[in-house]
Amino acid sequence: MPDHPTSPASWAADLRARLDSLRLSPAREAEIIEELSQHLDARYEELIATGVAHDEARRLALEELREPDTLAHSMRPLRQANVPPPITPGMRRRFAFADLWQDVRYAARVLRKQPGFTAAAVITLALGIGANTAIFSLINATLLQRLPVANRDRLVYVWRGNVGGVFPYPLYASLRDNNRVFDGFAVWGGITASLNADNVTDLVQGVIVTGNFFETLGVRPERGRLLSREDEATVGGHPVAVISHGLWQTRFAAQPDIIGHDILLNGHSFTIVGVTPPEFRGPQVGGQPGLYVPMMMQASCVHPAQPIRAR
Amino acid sequence: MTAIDRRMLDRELKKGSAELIILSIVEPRPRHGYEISKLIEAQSSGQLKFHVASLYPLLYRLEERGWLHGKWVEKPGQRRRRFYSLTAEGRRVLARQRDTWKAFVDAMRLITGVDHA
Repeated sequence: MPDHPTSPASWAADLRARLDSLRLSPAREAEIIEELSQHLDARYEELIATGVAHDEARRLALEELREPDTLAHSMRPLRQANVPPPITPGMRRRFAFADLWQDVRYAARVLRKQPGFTAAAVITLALGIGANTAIFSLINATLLQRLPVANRDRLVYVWRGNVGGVFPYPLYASLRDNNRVFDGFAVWGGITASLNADNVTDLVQGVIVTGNFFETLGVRPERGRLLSREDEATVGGHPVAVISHGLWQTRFAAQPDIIGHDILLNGHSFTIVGVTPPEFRGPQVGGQPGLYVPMMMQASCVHPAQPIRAR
Repeated sequence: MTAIDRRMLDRELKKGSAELIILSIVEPRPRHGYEISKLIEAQSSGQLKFHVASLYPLLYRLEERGWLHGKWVEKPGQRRRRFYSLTAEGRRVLARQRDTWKAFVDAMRLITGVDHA
């Protein structure tokens, strides 16, 4: 005896066969089967009420589904008919990018539903990333980055006393003259000077250096010459300056005739004798001094209290 | 009208007008699928008939577009049924489609000389 079609289960097999080619979620498929079964039930009962026999009523009701593939064909363009298969832990993924998109959407939905958690997570991540970035920047500047100079593996910083301790010039001169440890012993000190060139004044960062500074570091000039031991003979007697590649490019518009150009530093006349190469950015990683002046010109460039470091 | 003529009329009328028909049927109040199909058949004097295989995919499409809202309703002693109601967006779309359809019918009437009975 055939099933009585007034229960949803009696149409389920027919409907499931017609929906099988779609990628419906199991829950959605069950809903559709329930809804369409009710329609077929109503049609069946309507036919029975008009005196049609049970089998004929069932056949006529199923005609509502038309051809076997009509329902699937009409539903295939729908979003609900293209649900990605559920992700089963341990199963090999067949559609990696589709799964990824599903993961992203799921994460977005969860985050949207829990704004407090989302805010806490975002703040935690922001602080964590910021702290890591700051620490990495410090490590990068102090441990990873290295000076682009010759024989940098053999370079050492020398301080007097604590880290950053300064040398009086006579002590430096004594160390230099009695040095039996290092190949060279050069000294520099940071300055901030008022640079006047072509009637335009800027405040620039620079360094005063001993005559063997560039020689010790093995730096070669890009243009002109660098400072040498001859620039360390007489106190106040060497009004020459070397400028950095960056300053030459930005402040002097890369003038080809920059060598011999006169400038004023803190109101004192100096002559540019050379340009450092672009890769050389000063004696310390992270620093970018714009000009280099002989140590003997300290009185013209630096306040006596400013520190001088040695290496 | 022959059976072939009726089938052709049924198919041609549904083209481009199925959405307008469904939206119009559920405009007064929420209705379930079987009720919608019977109303279409009755109000068109049997000229139009939506089968299960065409009616429900259309309802689901309109629901995905946000023009209809489907909701399961349970009543004591009865199986739950899914009722479809017009959303605010669906109501706007219905008004636009009515205007378009009216303009089309007016144009057809002017061209063909066919008038309402």
